[in-house]
Amino acid sequence: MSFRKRGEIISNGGKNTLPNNRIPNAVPGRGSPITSSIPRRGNIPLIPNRGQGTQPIPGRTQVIPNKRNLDLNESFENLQIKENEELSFKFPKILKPSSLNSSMTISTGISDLDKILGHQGGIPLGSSLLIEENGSTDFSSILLKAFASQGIIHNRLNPQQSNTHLVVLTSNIQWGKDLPGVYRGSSRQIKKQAIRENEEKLSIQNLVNKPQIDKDLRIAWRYGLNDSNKREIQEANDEIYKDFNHQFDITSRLNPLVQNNEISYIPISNNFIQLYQQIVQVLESQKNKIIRLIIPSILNPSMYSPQLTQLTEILPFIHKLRSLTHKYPQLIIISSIPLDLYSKSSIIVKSMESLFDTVIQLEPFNQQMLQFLERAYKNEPNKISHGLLHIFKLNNQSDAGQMLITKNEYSFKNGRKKFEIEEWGIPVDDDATTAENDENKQTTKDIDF
Amino acid sequence: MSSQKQDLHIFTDNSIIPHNQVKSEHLFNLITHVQGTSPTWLLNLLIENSLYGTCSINTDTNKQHRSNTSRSSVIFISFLNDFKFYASSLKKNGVEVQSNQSFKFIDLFTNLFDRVVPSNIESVSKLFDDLTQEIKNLSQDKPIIFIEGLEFLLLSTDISSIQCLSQLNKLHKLSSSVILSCQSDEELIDIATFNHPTHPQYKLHDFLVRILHRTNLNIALRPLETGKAKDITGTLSISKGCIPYESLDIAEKEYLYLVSKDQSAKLFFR
Repeated sequence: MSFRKRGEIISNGGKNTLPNNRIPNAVPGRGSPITSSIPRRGNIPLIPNRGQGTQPIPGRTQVIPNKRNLDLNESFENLQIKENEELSFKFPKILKPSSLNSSMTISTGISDLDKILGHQGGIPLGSSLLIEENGSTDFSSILLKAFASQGIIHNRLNPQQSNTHLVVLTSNIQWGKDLPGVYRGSSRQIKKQAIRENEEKLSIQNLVNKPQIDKDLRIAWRYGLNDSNKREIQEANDEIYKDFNHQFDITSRLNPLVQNNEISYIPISNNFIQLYQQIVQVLESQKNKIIRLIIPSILNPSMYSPQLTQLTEILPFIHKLRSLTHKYPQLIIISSIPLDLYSKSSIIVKSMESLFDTVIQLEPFNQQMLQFLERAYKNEPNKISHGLLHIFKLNNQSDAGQMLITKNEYSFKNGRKKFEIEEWGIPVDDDATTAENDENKQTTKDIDF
Repeated sequence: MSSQKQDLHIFTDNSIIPHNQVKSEHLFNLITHVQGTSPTWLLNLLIENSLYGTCSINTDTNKQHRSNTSRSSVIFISFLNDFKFYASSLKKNGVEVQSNQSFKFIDLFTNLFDRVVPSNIESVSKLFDDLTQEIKNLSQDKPIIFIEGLEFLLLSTDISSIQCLSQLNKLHKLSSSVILSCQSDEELIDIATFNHPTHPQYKLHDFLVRILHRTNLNIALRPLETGKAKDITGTLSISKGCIPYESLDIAEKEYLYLVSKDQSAKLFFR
């Protein structure tokens, strides 16, 4: 603890704690998400939850590099920073740096899915995601469509400069017609929003009514509840990542509809080589954009001919796609596969999984389980989950050797305005327990002590 | 009372890849892994040990002094990852491979199917011919060759397990030791239902069994049977192969290991 004289000026104590030009190097090895298009506030925060500087990691030999190595290391790191800076400059507001490594991430369009991927952002650029689904339901298409919608919304942020292009591998050219629109909030929220906007306008009445919070909430301040610094960080963060992700309402449609210059359809042919060449063509023509490649229901026999399901056909294709994500760092691939047609224990699924960076499985509940849930949540129908979500691989982490297979730990629930993923817990069935209790009772009367 | 330090020992003289012995006797090591226990951290460790003789696991800072000269040359062949992936993960262990003359990375990931036509076995043998030529050109002395993802080539092309083995033999002859990492999930080697030589499951099963009869050293990485745990990633078991390694004894043992979020690994005795 240190003591200061009353009159002493505390250095750097004021608002300008950090000079404005420090942002590019805020976190070593990472680019800055902040670009010139965002108004500079007095105190732009560091990215939260990250340590500063490179500290030695315990339990690891530290090798003192010789000078030549040091220079090389530096140039390597600078290159990464430069790349990320370029990216975040090129695509303002829609990228978030990953908390795990130096990659930039982008939203999948489902905020809960973004959370599960573990980067405190979304899915890293230059990676692939495989969604497996059991049963005849089509929850995975909701994920794919939200992913597509998110891309379109990002694309329309700045009408002068488009930043995203969708590529869909499907013979159905109507696929983009029913992409969900942005959720506008309930009618009450819309009203509140209008009031808030009105209040923010500068008028004499608003100035007079402005509450003086700082003076009245001394105790709250004492406990840091009213910490303006913290709040500012939060606010600035919200401001920076305002357009990172959106919420989609599956009952509404994107307005205006997807234009032809925003999406490319590649029809499935009988030949993966041709298909691959078409993908490369589109990638080449849209080089300066983020490409969201969507492969709905891969190997579904209604679109793919039987010979394509041979391992010697599909594996080279997926392998090529994997190498594309390395060649084009702005490419993200998302694909779904029906597990009823290709069982989870089959070699085709297993070997495909090893080529995708992230693998999740959706397993909808069967009828019996749904009935049980309906009974258990009689009074809270919005708590009923629709199925389980298993994780098999997560980008960067699984390949580095972490064991991340989590089964039966998450459940998903599809609602009109949101696809939610939460931790799964089996509810207590009140009826069953009371019935059991009744049987165990020895007297018919309750004895009141 | 002093207890034995928890550290990785593959041989009874506490070494991992014995430098002098490897020069005189060929070491053939198979690392099998399944989904969830990717061997990247172990491969990194073995690369580091082959190059410098050090091991960045369970060791205290500043205790090891790594010389700037490497003790043997290493060639890494990967079918599933590119150089950037290994360069950055090795850098985390303090091994600089970008400008290292002793470390060569042969990338068979990026343009594999420009060189190989799945239905054409000739193209696969040509790939291996090119590979042997490249290795001959790269190093004068016999290098330690790492091969990752060979099983992928077996599954995605028409090459048979025997043909694959004979190609592997070519590389074997050029090297002082071979370290092969192979995915061996149950689903990939299930021969209960798929027992015809053309079935991919049969091919991979056959390949693995034949390899197992030719190795001196087997390392298996498996997750815990109870599933995911916060403090343990899985088990690492070291066992002797069918061909004895005569220069040194292999310390057969099972370890528990943990790969944490910052991608550093730790080993524990079981």
